[in-house]
Amino acid sequence: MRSTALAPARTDERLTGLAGEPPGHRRYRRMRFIRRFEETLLRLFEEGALNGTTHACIGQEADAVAVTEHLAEGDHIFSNHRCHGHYLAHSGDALGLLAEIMGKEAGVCRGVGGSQHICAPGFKSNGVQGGIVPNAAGIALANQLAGNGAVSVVFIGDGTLGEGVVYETLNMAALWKLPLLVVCEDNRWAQSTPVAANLAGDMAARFAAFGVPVREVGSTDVEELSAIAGEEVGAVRAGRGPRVLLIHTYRLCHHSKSDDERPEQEIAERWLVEPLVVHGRRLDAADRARIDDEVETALAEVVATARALP
Amino acid sequence: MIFAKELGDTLRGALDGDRRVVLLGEDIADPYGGAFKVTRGLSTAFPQRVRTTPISEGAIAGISAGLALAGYRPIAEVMFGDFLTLMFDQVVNHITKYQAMYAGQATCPVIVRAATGGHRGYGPTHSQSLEKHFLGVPHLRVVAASLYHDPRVVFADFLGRDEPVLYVEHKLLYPQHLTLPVHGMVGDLIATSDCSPGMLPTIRLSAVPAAECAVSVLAYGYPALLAAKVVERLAMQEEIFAELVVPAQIAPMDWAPVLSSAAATGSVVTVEEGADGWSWGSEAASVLSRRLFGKLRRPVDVVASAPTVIPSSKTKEAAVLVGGAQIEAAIRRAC
Amino acid sequence: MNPVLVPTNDVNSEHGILVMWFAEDGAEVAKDELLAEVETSKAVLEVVAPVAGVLLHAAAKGTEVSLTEPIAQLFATPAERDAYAAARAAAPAAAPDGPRATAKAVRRAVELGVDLASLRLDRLITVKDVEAAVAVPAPAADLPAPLPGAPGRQRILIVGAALGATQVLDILAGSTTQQAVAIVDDDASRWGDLVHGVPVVGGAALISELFTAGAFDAAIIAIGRSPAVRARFRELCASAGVPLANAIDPTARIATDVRLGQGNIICAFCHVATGVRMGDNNFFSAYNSFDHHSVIGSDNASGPSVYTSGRVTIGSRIRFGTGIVIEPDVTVGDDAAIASGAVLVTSVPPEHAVKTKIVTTTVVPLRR
Repeated sequence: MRSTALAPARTDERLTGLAGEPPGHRRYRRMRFIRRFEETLLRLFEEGALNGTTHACIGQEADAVAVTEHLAEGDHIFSNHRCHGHYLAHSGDALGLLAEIMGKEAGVCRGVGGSQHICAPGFKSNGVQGGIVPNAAGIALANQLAGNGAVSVVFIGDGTLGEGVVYETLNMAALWKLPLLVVCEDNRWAQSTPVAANLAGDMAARFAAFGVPVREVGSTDVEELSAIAGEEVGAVRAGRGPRVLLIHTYRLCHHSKSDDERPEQEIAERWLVEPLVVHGRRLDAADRARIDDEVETALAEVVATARALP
Repeated sequence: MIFAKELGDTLRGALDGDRRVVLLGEDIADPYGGAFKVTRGLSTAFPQRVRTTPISEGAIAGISAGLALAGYRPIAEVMFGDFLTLMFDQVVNHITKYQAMYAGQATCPVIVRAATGGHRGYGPTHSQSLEKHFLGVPHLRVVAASLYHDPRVVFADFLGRDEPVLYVEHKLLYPQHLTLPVHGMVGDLIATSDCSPGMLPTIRLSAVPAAECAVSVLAYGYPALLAAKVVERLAMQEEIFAELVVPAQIAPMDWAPVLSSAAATGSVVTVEEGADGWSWGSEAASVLSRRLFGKLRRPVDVVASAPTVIPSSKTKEAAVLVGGAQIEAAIRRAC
Repeated sequence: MNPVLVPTNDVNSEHGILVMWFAEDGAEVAKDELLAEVETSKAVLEVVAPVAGVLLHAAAKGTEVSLTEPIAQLFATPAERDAYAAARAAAPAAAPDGPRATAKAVRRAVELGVDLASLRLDRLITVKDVEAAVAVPAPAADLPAPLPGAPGRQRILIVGAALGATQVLDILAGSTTQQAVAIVDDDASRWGDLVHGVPVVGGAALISELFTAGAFDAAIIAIGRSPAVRARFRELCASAGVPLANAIDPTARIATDVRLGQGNIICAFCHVATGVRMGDNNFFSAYNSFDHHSVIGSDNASGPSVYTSGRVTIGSRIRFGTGIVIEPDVTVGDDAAIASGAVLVTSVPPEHAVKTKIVTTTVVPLRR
């Protein structure tokens, strides 16, 4: 497991996977960890323990877990405002992230960055839409110049496709065959605006126009997503230029804190196919309950530790 | 050698001496070698690290930022400084943010070079000096090319530090020769170099020692060259003595040499080619009024271009942009 | 005569390099014949003959040329060309740099009949300087007389009333053999001042007069900054028959078998090692050390802490900065300038400067 420069070794096997655990259990545990972390944050907000805002990724946990499974030392992730799942799947550092969001000195960025601005070895995020895409492409260019075989991954959402610099970057990444994987999580809603009101034409065709191969999948199944992500990361690592993994998914909670005007019916239907339900069926009830318990206990310890920090 | 070639030579030296240096920009590759020919020959010598880009300033800046985050030393060329607006988000919300917002865990030392300024008849969108919009952006150094500062020294400083820099190059400097101080003189003017710790040198030029000058003229870039001609002529013809103070770094400013000069002369004129108001000169006036309150004989006079579009017509352009006549009039007023 | 201009509307360049002449100097060329190639920052430009004629080059191959000046002239006949070339060669060379003066000062000098060269000012001459020169024969009665001097002591006239004078006066303060009795300085604003109790009695023009009148026995030139100015005043004293005296701080260590000339100022804690040969009129600041068998010329000026190893040769009129280290057997040529912090491991030819790269000290806040 990775550690951050400012707070080494703040991971817990009960959150990131026990040694020798079957992959199916491990994936469930990691998604459960992200889910419960986000729900805990929302509770802490209501309680008044947090400052600012947060963008929960409830419903999208499978994407983070599936993609990060295929990354290695030297690879780099650039994420966006909705970065907690990506960061936790990458580092397992719940304490560093929670302390950061609580504005504590022990946070991964000493409380300066907060929820949307995270930096740790192999990981960065920024809250401005679009601009992280060329940043990730620059890291890809650095890897290409160094010839180190590393992959640069950037997570964007459907809303980000409104930003012009994304297309400037796709063009240059394709021209220069940069080792860049763009993971576009289409969660159907850009804040309060449905994708139909935001996006003309065909989403995949936007990438394809630059000759960038697009792998499109509508799924919340972590196993299916992991298999596909593994192929895409492998193709980028093999030097075949930039690629796009377009995942049609769904955000089950509001955009940030409590701004949700979406139809209740639509949300209710998606709760039936959310990642924990889909993958949880593969585990027997006892294992699920045990993992849920372990995650709960470990997270409770993290929260207690974080609260006690100066 | 003319300044454009001195600068090209500087970049060649940087590429040669440091494998982390990467040049990005529109039309910078051979045989064209950049709109102002600064990079001519470099893509032939360093094909991997000197790259012509599409017309995509946002991505040029954004990819430079990624390179810098990954430990490289990108130098991005903006063909016309007017297009800096197209990378403003990258400069303000990415490049200059990273080091501070990540609590020092990353650095993003992007160098952006931009050809700025008018007097060429290129019209409203190819003649501007927009650097004032970048002054005061936290964690951004803004440095102006001048004929009194060796670009080799300036770029050695850039590449030796981990901070992002915007380097503005007035187009009219490209065909001129560098006039670095020799034996303490630039032409007929006495030249001294002042430098506070961690800053780039500020060059002070005057016909007689500062204590005998009646006014300090604060200018950078091409207007500094215009001002030097006026200062020299007024001294030699009329014994109106002014001290010209030319910083390389215009934000954050090394105020010490300016304060030293202003305290000696008791009167200050600032000169810049950017549009009047909310400007470098306004900031200088504000700082000097705080630091030298009661010690100046008169308020700081800010000379800047008219706050309107820069016309293409030669006569109309000259009426809008700061020229020698405005500088001379201001010096006479300030004596 | 027809000028040959570089055809360009390239606004990016004011200069170019004359890469190649295709027609020899003196050749007869036809209209539109290719004469030369000039490379600018943007392009290589071909220069063709605007008319037929006999060619006279105005610039050499490989040199930089202005794009607004002719690079050659074309003449109708070889005779015309040769006559023009001869006339140009015979034209007086540009006047060597005279005194630099403002236009107002030049006019005022003409009005007052002042020869600007006679002012001997190493800076821009202004109206004030010209008028001050006329005012030089100020009423002697207004100016103080030299001190009488104690019997048995060498009475010293100090040239220069600025900070160098205070250093010399400090050296002489404890002396039982030398006493400063007067100071001269060309800056009239200092006349009548007392420097550590010694009066400024007037300008350097008084040196000869005061010496003839028996007011002092020897002079010391207390000007630290400019070797050229030191040399000028030494020549002035020599022409007036005025001897120079050495001023050696009592804390300086002068070894055995050292030969010193005259007029040397050797400040506190200097070390002049055995076998050293030193000329005249040097100004060495504190903590200079010249190790054994070094040979030193005249009219040099140094900052503090200049150290040489043994067998070093130092010429004349050299300006040393502060904190300089010189390796054995190095020679520093006449009129050289050595920047502070230099470590000289090789010799420096005459009229060369040694630069150092100590330009900044980076100061950053402490980080926890």
